[in-house]
Amino acid sequence: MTGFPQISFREERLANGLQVLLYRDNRVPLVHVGVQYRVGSSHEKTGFSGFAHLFEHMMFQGSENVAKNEHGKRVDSAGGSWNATTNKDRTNYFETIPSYYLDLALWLETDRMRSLRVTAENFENQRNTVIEEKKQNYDNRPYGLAHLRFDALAYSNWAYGHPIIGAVEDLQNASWKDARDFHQTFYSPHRATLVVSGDIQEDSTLSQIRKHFESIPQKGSPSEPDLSEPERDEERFESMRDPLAALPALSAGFLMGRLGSTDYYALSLLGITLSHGESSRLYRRFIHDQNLATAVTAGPNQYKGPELFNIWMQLQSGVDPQEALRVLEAELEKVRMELVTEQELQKARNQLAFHFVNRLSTVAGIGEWLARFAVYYDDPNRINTDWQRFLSVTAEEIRDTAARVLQPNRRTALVVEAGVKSL
Amino acid sequence: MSSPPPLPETIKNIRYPEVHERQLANGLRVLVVPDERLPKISIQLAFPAGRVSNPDHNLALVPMAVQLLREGTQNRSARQISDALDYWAIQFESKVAMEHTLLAMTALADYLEPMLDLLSDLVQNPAFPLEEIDRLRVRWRSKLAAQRSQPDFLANERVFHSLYPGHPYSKVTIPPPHLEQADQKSIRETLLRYFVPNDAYLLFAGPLDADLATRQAEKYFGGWPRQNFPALFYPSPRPQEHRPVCVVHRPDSVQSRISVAARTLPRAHPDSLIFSLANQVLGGSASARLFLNLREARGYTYGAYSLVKSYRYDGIFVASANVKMDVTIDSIQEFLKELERMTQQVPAQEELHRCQAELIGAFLRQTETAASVGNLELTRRIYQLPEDFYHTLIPTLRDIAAEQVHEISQNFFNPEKVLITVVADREAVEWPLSRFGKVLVYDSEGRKLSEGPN
Repeated sequence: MTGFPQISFREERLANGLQVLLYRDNRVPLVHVGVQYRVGSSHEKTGFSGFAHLFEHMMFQGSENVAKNEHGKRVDSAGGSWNATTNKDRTNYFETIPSYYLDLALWLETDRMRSLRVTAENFENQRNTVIEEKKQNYDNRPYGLAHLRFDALAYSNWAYGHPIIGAVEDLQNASWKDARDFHQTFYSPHRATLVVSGDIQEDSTLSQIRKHFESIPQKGSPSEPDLSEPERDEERFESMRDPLAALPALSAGFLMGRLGSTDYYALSLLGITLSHGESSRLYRRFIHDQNLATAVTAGPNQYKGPELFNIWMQLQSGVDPQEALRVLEAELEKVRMELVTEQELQKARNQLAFHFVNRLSTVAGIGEWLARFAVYYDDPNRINTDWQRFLSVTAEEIRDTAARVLQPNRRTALVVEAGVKSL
Repeated sequence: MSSPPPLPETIKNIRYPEVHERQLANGLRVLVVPDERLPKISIQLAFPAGRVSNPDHNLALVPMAVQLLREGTQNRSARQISDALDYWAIQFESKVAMEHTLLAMTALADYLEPMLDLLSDLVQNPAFPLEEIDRLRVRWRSKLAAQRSQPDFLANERVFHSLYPGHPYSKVTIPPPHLEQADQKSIRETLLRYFVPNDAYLLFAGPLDADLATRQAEKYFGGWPRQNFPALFYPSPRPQEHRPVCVVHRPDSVQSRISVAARTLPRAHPDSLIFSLANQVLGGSASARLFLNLREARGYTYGAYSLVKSYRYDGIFVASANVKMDVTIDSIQEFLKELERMTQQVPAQEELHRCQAELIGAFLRQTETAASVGNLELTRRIYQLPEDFYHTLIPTLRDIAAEQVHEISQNFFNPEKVLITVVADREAVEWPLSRFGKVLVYDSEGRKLSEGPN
């Protein structure tokens, strides 16, 4: 490919350990500010499932100098957009804002990194909000409960096995004092990466950052969760009925190496070969040729630790999930035994190259990706090199990795029977 | 204690990106938004015909014609088309909206020629193979059934049906019999009739200039013959008189999906920006009144927002939330109170400034990529917005006064007239809802089950 873009960024570390990444692009008067903390649901203790995400909500409930909801209101008043996300490995807070308001965004992030104002009343309110979020996104949605169940079935280790959204009873048991402790334990500058990308001048922006953040003291040093998974050689299978689903579905998964391992690169390309686009193998077989399914996806699940190679299918009405599993196994047998074709390999490479370039379209996209490489790989410069790793994967590596990872006796399968009541 | 940094005033305006427009001899208008930054090109073909634009009232025809473009041409089989799209990593999206259709392809700049070659073949030489029509029918039967398990779909369908009874705008999905009735001949005729170069736009966004784009457009689309584009007829929507209350019965629901909606203004109406600003005050963001009330003050829901959807001849606002079942009635009362407040009080300056900044910021983010500028340009042309619309958007928004927002709110946010729709298990909500008016109950297929008390 000609002219693969290189992202020229600057990396600094403040005295308190905060990692700072700066990227300058002055075309449009916009700047993206993101703070990623190295804490996610995998850091939760048993009995506290869902806490990392509930805590994310508390970060908008006020800090020493910012009143409840004022964070969002101030960013909105500046014409910015903002949000936050929690996953298994990290929590990400971000805003994209007209660049002449950069100082405001930095001030807001500083205030809630330094101090959080947690009250029993706010905590109760956000607990209720999160319970409704769980209902909206999982309990009241077809396949929602299956998505929550699948990781628990596939992972032996609770750290990755329990859902990010948590269990309602755990959410009910949590107290506002736990939130205070959580901030002290996990929200230290040395566990965070601050990225500022867009319409900035590097030196003056760095001075602003120092002015705001450098005086925040380091806090706790919690130990990292043990994410290791025991070896296993027996299939796990479960079947459930979903009263909200109109069509049956099937989820299959195989434990694999961590993000950035050789498994990850090889199986990412395999995921494209199997399910990306209408020329992919599973699309052709399940959807186009045999009308067994209406949707299919396959690929690594993008967790930092041991990943799962996940295959999800919404099946056609009346299709026996066991039959779908047999057809799937026949397709997997092929990739375990034979090389993908040169055409398939080149297609997967082109798809990945496009994906890389596309991520660089906006200052928010670049900022989030820089921070992701910093947090997941401890190496933000992988934004400039990771694509080469993908493009160098060979057909032999894909076959050999598939043969090792996608074995039937290592499979986890969850079948969802459609349960919509007829009226 | 530390104080927030002083806020500079919102920007007065921006330099809107340069957009070039040319026209081919067959009438096709070529738009170019140059952007050298990334080796990526988007091309889009936009047609002013959509889901409701067909006189036979078969709502499957336009979506099927568009979907089948990728299922075979005179030169390529469906398999060859998907092989080519995937091999060159061409991201192909087709979108059939209410009144327009977009065919969009994006790829690495190295693959511009294969992309154009494919797009021109798809729209100029479609084959509509019978076996692919059958396959599509089978797939869409399931898709149409599956969408009826989604509360958002059910709410949307009921809102449009109730606000536009008997009008094309009520048609949000394909009735299953239409899918069965659409045959190869009628699908082909639909495409030939509505998808013609002289009313279409071809947009290029990426590292190329207007001359190169025009040469490429000429090479690949210059031979596409001009056709008469039929006049589209829409009856005027009937005025909305009373406040209906609808329940869509969804057994086993664990939340109530509430929508509060009313008819408003067409897209190109001179006051539509004022209404957008009023909507922003009501529920346009997580700092707006609905969110702060229903989520932050009461914890009833994960989120409560209000949206504007507008078309050529009319528009609507829909305020909605998924709430705990046992606070369904309380939540509706809060929605109505917030509407009432919009009609009774002039919004405070500080609140208005925030909402103006939100809309200005959203516009600014849309100008960040050439492809999103291209989308703005296509929207402006399809909905016949004024030529300087985006050039003056920021000053126009800044100049809207609080009194104007109040006045327009009095016209459209009348709590006595809004439609109330609840998707939930009827057992839980039907009876208490009667306090708001006559309750009509529908099943998930859209059939009326009963008229409740009152």
